[in-house]
Formats: sequence, structure tokens, C-alpha cells
Amino acid sequence: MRDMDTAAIVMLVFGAVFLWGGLAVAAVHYVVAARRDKG
Amino acid sequence: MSDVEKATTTGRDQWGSKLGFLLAAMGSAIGLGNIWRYPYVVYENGGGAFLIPYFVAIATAALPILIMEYALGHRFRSGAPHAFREMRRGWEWLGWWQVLVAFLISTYYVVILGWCLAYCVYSFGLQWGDDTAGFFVGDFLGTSAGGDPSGFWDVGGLRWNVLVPVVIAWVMVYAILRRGVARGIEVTAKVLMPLLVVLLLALVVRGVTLDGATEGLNVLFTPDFGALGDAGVWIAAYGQVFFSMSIAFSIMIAYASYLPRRTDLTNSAFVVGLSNASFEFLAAIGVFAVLGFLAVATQSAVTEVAGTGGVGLAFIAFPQIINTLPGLNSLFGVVFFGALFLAGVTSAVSIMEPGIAAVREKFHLRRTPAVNWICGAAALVSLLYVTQGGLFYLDTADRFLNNFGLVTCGLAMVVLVAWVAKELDTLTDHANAVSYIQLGAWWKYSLMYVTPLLLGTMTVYNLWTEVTTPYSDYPWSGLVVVGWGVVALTLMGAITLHQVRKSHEMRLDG
Repeated sequence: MRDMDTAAIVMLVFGAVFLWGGLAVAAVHYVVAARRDKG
Repeated sequence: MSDVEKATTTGRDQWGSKLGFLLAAMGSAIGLGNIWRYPYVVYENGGGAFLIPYFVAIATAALPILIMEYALGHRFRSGAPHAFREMRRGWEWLGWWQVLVAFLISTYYVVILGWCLAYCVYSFGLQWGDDTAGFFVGDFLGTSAGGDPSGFWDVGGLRWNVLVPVVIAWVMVYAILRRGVARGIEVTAKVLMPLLVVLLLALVVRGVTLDGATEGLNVLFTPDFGALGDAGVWIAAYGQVFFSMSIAFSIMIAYASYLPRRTDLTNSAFVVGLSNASFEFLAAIGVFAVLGFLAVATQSAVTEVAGTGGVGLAFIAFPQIINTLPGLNSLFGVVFFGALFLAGVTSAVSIMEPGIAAVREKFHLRRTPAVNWICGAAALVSLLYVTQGGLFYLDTADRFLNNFGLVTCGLAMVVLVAWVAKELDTLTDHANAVSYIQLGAWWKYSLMYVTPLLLGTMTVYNLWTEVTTPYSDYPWSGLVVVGWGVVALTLMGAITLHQVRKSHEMRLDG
């Protein structure tokens, strides 16, 4: 059994950063905006 | 006064909290397709390279349409038929068309939930045996002619072993809807969505720690950048985001109509859209990790064991994988089919809600009778899929309602709103007035040019495919009646509903 190919790892990381990172940024922005709205 | 109390006094349902709306919208978007469709779309369309058109499609189609539907529902504070009627008096039919397509999709979606429940039980003792395909098509569904297309018109009798779990699934969906938006849909989403994420994480962790997982991940993610020159890959990316995000179903119009006036629409769309995409990305890792394990365990190539996704992946390939696991096989089965059920139940509820909202607004019904009518009618239709020919009818109806019902509804909606009514500026002002992220040229031009072009191309491509090659080798008579006939029925029904009782309409929020 072989390890993951470098190209596959790069695309996995690319997808993870874009999607999960994007979601984290959107969620933080949502919470901050909601708090600012309440204040 | 709380949001729920306000809703009671105005007569219109309202979400109990903004988090509740977000989770319900995520629950709607995250469904069976995220688990059994997305991984295969990636695999068949350039592997890791597919992520590039996929991200472009999210940015230029999924998020813009999602924001537009939120803005429509929030601005007009009504379901799709009334919202389109408010925009232009003659367009109510478009809302009904979306509602009817969603209604018919719900009739078979809940049947699949029943299958998931049955397979949760079958997981104990791995009751499907070694021949998982034979068990699913033969012992479980009892499909006519052993699944051969020649048995299409052999309806046969009801399958009681399928009917019982389907009835249980219907009772659950009915009970959630009957409790209302805040106490039913929202509470369910708040409980089930975190549970679903935990179950998926458990599956992924188990999957990536199995021998051979890297083989599957290599097949999934190794990029073929040459595929980006193929127009079919781009169409697949736009098709995936379109089917995955619960858009053009009229769901998001109804859901957004239950929001309080002051709600950040644009950021909500970003959170929901990216949650849905993140979930399916994670599911793809889990699915291909276990397919890699199966390939190594059976000394086959991943491409040989991968199959075609969809129902075959869940009810034929996964039972085979579960048989092959080194331990805790039954538990893995319960977790997998349980996750499928949870993902499906929040989506099923959301697919029915637009119909309930629309019927209430049109015929001045209280919630309970509206839920009784819609669920009762849908449950009756779903009996057709519990017969021995049910698999044929489900497969055909799904194909045509998605490829022609949903895509054409989406195309009509975008063209009418952006080009005919020229409402994008009004909707931009509405969304920007309540949102922190301000919409600009990106949103407008995506909806005016990119989305109609891609949806138009998809419609022509689907038409060409359907006319030149009979789907799944089914008889033409079957495709005409169950496929084209069902699509035509939704359109005729929409026009009929547009015509009836116009003078008695009212909005429940007065």
C-alpha cells in the first residue's frame, strides 16, 4: 500500500483551506456582525 | 415579545432564532446527495482538478441564487407563488411550478428514508448477506424482472417490508411539520444537525484509519487538469452546486419569509452555502477512504469497486464494505445508515414546507389542515414507489424532475427576475439594507449572465441526452409517462393553481 500522492495532498489541502477556512471566516463574520448589531 | 409570540399574533410562522434558521437551512441543503452524489461527481470529472470549476460554480451560481431566494422570501414575506405574484401579477404559476416539483420529489425522497431505516435494522447481524446487490433489488425491493428494464410496467403488489419503514418515516416527517416552523423544523434541525456532523466525523475517522484508505483518496484527489478543457466538467460543477444547495425548490423563499425583518441575508447565504460544500467535501473523503479499503481488501482497483454512486453506493457497495470491515461491522452500518437518514429527514421536511406555506396562503388554511393535506397526498403518491416496480418509477421520476423540473424552474426564475422584471436592483437594495456584506456587480452579473447561460446549456444538454439515449434502457412508454408526463403534470398543475380562487386570496400576515 502506498502513501498519498503529493498532487492529491495538495488538492486535498486546497479544498480544505478554501471550504473549511471560508466557512470559518463566514461564521466568525456572522457572529461579529450580529454582536455589533445588538450593541 | 419573542419572535414566536410575534408570529402567533400576526398569524405567520417565524423562526425562534437566527441560529435556528441557519441550522434548518443547512439541514435542507445537506441531504442524501451530499453523501452519495458529490464524491462521484468529483471522481468522474477530473478528481482534485474538479475543485476549481466547483469553487467557481459556488461563487457565480450557488451563492448568488441562494441570496436572491433569501431576498425574495424576505422582501415579500410569503411563499414562492405569492412572492412571484407580488412581483408580477401573472407569475404566480412559476411559484406553484417550483412547489409542485418539490412536492413530487418529496414523494420518493421519504421512501428512500424508509430504506435507510430498514437498513439500520438490517445492519444488526449483516442481514443483507454476501450478495448485497441481489438482496437490495430482489429480497428487499422485490423489483420486477430482477431489476431488468423489461419489467418496467410490471407494477406488482405493495412490498410490506418496505411499506412499514416508509410509513414510520412519513410519521416522523409529519410530526415535525405539524409542530410548526419554530417548534418543529427548527428544534429538529438544532438536534439533528450536530448529531449528523458527529456521525459523519466518526465515519471519516474510521474510514481514513482503514488499510487502503490512501488508495481511495489518491483516486479522488489526484488532479487531471486536462479535464478543465472539457465543457462537460464545467456543466457537472454547476449541476452539482445547483442540485446540492436546495435552490429553485422554493424552499429558501419560504424559509426566508419566516425570518425577522432585521436579518443578515447575505452572510446567512455564505454560511449555509459553505457549510453545505464543507460537509460534502468531508463526506467525499470518508466515502473514498472506505472504497480504497474495499479495493485493497478484495484486491481490486478502486475504479472497479467504486461503481456509479447514488442508491447503488448506499445500498449495495456500502453493505459490501460493512461486511468486509475488520470489526464493529454492525455499529458502522447503523452509523452510516443513521447518518443518511438524519441528512435526509431535515431535507425531506424542507421539501414539504414550501407546499404547506403556499397552500396556507392560497386557501387560508391553518397549519394543521395544510400539513394533513400535503403530507396525506404525498404519502398516497409514495405508495407507487413501494410496489415491485417502484425502483423503476423512482429512478425515472428523479431523473426527469431534477433535470427538467428543477433546472427549468431555476432558469425561468433567474431569467424572469433578472431580465423581464429587472428586479435585481430592488433585491440588491433590500439585501444590502439588512446585511453587512454589500452586494455589488459580482452578484448582479452572475445572475444576469453566468447562471442563465449555464442553466440554459444544461437544459439543452439534458434534452439532447434524453432524446438520443433512452435513460437506463427503460421503454420509451415508461419514460414518456413517468418521466415527461410527471414534468408536464407539474406545469399543468401550476397553471391550474394559478387560475383558481384568485379573488379569495389573502396573506396570513395581513
